[in-house]
Amino acid sequence: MKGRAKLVIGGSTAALVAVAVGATAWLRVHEAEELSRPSQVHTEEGTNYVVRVLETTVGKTEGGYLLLVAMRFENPNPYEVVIPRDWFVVVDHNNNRYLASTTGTQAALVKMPPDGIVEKELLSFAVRDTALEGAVELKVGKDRWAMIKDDKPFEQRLNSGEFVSFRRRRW
Amino acid sequence: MWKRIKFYAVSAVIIALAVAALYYRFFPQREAVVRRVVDAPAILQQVQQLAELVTVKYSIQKVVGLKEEKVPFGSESVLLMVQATVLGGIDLASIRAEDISVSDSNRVTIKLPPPMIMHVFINDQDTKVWDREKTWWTPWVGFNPELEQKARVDALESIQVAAQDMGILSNAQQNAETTIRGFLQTVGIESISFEPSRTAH
Repeated sequence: MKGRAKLVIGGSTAALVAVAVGATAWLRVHEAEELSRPSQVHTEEGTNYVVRVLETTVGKTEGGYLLLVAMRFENPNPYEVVIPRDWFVVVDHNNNRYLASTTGTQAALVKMPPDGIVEKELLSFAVRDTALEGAVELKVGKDRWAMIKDDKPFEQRLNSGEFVSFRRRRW
Repeated sequence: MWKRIKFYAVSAVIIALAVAALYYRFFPQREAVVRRVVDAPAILQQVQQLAELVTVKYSIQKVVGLKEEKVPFGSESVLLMVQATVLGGIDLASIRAEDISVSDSNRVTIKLPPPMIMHVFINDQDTKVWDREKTWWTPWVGFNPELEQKARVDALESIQVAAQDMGILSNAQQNAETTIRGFLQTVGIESISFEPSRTAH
């Protein structure tokens, strides 16, 4: 009886741990899917394209944070779609707006080939220290926004030059 | 007879010299005045010849660490020592005719395009991976072969921001003005002023 009880308790504990791990894994996968949910958007002229946020990376700089957003673009049109990079705007909880960088490594235009896919395009934003204290959204098209960070403050302490990448909105 | 001829000859030379002296005294030879016509299209053409004017170069060394969170569990990180070069300058090819004005007194005013970071590149020979690890309790998670490349891209962005914080753009603007002023002075344009950039960058 004593041995059986031990077995039951051990089995239950193992089952509980397995369920907890499974639930956490499911939650993480669900969060990643939620971040990468495709949005069908259109240019100012009305051309459709599909955009997905793949990953976000945040890094510390001397003056604030550097926010890097990796995106996937899909062009269902039989012609090339070209959108200016600074059309993508990050907005923080204080309604501060940040344009995507268009100098250095970042070309001014994002070009999507006809009926083609741009697997990974990086958008770079230099944001203020206070920008990550709340939710952060990214304008991905005309009147279309994607939430890239939830409203919980980002509390991880980063040194200058230190980056962390996420595939979820909860940082 | 010879004495008379000598007298007339000497007198003629003296009179000729005196006349010449008087002529040059009262009718000095006018210097050839070359009036340079300063017109905006000519200046535009000359300034545009400078094309992409790189005026400042920063060498920046930075330690960059990237931690990638895996889905559903674990993480992987890499630490890089990065040496990069940032070039700042002005794209003079984008200057337009209306950006150059010439006043009546031949004073040239140029409205320059905003300074920008033209190139950022990593010096591969001086860039080293210091450390690379992943969470020990996720042995099933393999090393991401792209992580180092991702860290390099992050480093480039970070270095670009660092260069801006260090004042590369204002430095590029000042150097561009000095270079253009020197260049135009060699073609005879003395009075040059610059107006603030068309748009802030």
